[in-house]
Amino acid sequence: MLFYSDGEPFATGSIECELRPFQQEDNNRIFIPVAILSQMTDAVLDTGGIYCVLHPAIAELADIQRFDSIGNPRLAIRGIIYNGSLYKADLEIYASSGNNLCQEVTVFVPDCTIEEWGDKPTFLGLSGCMQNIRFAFDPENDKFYFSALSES
Amino acid sequence: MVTATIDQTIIPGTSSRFDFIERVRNTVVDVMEPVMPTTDGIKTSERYFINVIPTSSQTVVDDITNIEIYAKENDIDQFIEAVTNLDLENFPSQSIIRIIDLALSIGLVKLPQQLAQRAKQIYPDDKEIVKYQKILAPPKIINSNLPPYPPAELNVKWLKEFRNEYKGKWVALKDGILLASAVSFEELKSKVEIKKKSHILVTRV
Repeated sequence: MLFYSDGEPFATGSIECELRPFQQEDNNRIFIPVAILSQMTDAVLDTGGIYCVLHPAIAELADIQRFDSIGNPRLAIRGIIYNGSLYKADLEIYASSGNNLCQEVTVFVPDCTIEEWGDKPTFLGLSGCMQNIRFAFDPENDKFYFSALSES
Repeated sequence: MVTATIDQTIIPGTSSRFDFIERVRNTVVDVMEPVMPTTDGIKTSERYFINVIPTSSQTVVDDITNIEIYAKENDIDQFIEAVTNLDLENFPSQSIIRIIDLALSIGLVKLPQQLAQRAKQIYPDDKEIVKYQKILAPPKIINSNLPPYPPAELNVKWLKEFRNEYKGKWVALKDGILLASAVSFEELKSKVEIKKKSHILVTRV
């Protein structure tokens, strides 16, 4: 685990992640295992993005539609404008050492079919999703470190 | 019985996007005796014209009309400036929700969050406002001390090892073991029962 010089933990959890491109890119992205409403999947860190943008298939498995939503917001994702709905849902970040972390985040579910969504993954944006998580990435060991800001 | 003939064109700033009757209901009117003859069967003594005196509710409608135009034109700067200068206490809850919806429709994040927070202070018992505030609120840590789940890492290792072999397919993994693969999500669901909290990772490789 990582620590500040005063001994306080920088991270309270860590896990091996996958560094790979997607959608015919040649630049790598960080994929980590998470659970949305207890449905496990992998998701890409998107520090330039907003909300947790949930893959329509995972949204179906998580049965997120049973919760209150705000309809018709619009998001530009990978150059395509999507209409969709916003929800509040639990996002759990898995740790292999330290502790798992669960937070309540804003989730955008695109109003499109699984086929229309294509090979895009679930995204973990900064605003509305990862903004209260301190995280670090060790590219040598493909290790993702994280903790809640309130831990420091 | 008095019959009032209302011509929408006499209402300043009227837009067809708004419910006209609602606007009249919220408008102070000055009823005057008619000065012109009629030919439609309504007795002259029953016909009245209405002069509209703009009120605070009229201003609210005009403000929203302007904000809608900024949103339609995707003029983010003007939109933010116009909304930031609003005194939300003069706005009915539904109007605030309309503004939040417009802000979301043009991809804003912080402004709708702030609007929903302010709206909840003004209308703490309005269910729709409370819903908006809750959904748009900043992320909240529920528990940062949950037990780890080391087998989740085995799924990552599996994906690294077999990504090329299963590229384009849907897979269901549990603790690093492939439960099923399929060319479509529907086919995957037919092959394996995926229950929540079962630690089955589902993804398209």
